[in-house]
Amino acid sequence: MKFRRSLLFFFRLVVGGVFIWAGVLKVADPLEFAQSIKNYQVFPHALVFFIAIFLPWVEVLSGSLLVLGPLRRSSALLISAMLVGFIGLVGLAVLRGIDTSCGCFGSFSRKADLSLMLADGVLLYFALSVFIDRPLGTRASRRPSP
Amino acid sequence: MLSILLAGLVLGGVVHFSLLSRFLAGEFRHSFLDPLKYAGIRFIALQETQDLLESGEALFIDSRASREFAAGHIPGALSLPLEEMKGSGGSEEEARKSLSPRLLSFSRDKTLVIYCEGGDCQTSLALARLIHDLGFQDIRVFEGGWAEWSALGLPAEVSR
Repeated sequence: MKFRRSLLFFFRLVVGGVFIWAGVLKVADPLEFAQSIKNYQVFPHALVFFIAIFLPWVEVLSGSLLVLGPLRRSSALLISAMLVGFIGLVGLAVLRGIDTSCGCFGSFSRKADLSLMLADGVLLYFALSVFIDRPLGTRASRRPSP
Repeated sequence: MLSILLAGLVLGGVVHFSLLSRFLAGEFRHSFLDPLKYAGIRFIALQETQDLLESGEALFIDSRASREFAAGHIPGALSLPLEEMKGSGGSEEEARKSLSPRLLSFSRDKTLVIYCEGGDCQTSLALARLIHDLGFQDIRVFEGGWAEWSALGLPAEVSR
């Protein structure tokens, strides 16, 4: 039990840390992030702009809340949803033969390829593990009455 | 979950209020290039590109993959295949490092015309930003790119 709690805490630190770092870099230069999203050639121009303005803040907030604890299951679910979106976007780029950097970490971004999808898949597993772990009180209340 | 999304919307709106205002006023409709930061970069159309080629004043740069460049390019163009220069890791830093020596012999005042495939291609603009950071002050991005140039049957060179 103690091992499981430590493991989940480790997952929260890793996923939350990655999202805080990624979000802060994008907040610092939203136009560069917008250009990165545009490189995927999926969203219309205006939508790209609004995604670039708001999404990094959602990343920073959900990452922080995941690390700190409050709303951690909501944060984990939101992060999982974002990761599914990122994996889909990179998958689409790979299928369409679009050779671009992922735009995930500002100018430190890496190439949008299968290895990135795998890394996102690992983060998704971590985030979902945190999400499906119900708080102790909730578990007790769901036990059938004698 | 909704509260996190809402907080993100509010924070994004407040912190980037000036960018949002500029967007709503009509800026960034063409590209996400900040004219305040990249004053030396501008977009040009076919006629200006042709004039610059005829005058011989500008250095043409092709940002497409090297095999595309080899198959056909604007006469005299220099091949700087951005995605290949990023290396296997797709790193912009890697591209920056490999760019500098290739442009060392050119004056920073030189007019540069950068193009890629055309249409939705983004490498010409990305390359323009990197080159701008090296100190070049007159960078023009040919919007129509190779697609428009070749479709009109304009002069082209093939590499052997």
